[in-house]
Amino acid sequence: MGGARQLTGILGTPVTDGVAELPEETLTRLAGQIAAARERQTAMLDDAVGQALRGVPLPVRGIVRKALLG
Amino acid sequence: MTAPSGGSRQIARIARLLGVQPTAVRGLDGLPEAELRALHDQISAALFADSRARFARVAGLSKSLPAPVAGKLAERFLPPVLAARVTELLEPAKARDLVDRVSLPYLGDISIALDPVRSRPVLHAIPAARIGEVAGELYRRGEYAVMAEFVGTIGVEALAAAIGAAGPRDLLALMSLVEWNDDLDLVFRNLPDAQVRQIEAELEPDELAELAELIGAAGSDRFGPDRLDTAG
Repeated sequence: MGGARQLTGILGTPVTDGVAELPEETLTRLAGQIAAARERQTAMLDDAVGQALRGVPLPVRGIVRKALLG
Repeated sequence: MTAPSGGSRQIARIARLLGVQPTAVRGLDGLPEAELRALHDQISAALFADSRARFARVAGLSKSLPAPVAGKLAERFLPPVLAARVTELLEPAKARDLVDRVSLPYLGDISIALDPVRSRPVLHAIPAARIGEVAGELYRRGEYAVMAEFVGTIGVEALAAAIGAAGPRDLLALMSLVEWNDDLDLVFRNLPDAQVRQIEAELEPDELAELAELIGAAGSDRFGPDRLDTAG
């Protein structure tokens, strides 16, 4: 049941009964794929924000920096 | 025409969400479609929740910048998959302003990544004509499964525009994937005669019969077997 618990942890909500009964290997792989997608999303956001802050026209750079970084 | 099964469509959606090929999401094939859809929605919600605050800050920029500037910046700096998350947090009125400020290909890319449920308020604010243009872009790319997911989300005017943008074979591909609803019934019963004539002219008799069967009562008197007999 480790895989189902790991998946529930990463999703933040319990998985359905059918998903919980999938082989451990499938659940562990899925949890890993979700974690990787999450990391990729964060990296993509970091990159987009960084590029925007470097590349937006000067007149709006202050507004963009304040909005994106707080 | 053999449509992919509901299960394989949901597996493809999960794979897309995870940024992997469908073959990499193996072991899920035995699950019923409803459970696969629920799993997709759980993964989508988890990815969204993870960076929600950051997406909200980007969406908030649209309030600080004129729409033409916001649209240009989004298309230049925001990858479509992130733009989709931001779109889901836009005020609907702002989305309506922005939708004409970005290119159709970019909108097509965003549509592929949009969550149909979270984006419902935004989609309802977008003019039907623009929805029709995006639908045409999706058909051009063969993204019928994506369009099928939106059929239950957009309003009836937008649905009419989306169906109106479809060529006869687009309709056949799309209708084999959608879950039928009352809005589809209304749209097909009021399909313009010119579009009906085009469908009759371009589809083979067996394709016409298949389309008629897919759209059921809404189409049986437009291009069902009886209508075929009438058309001679």
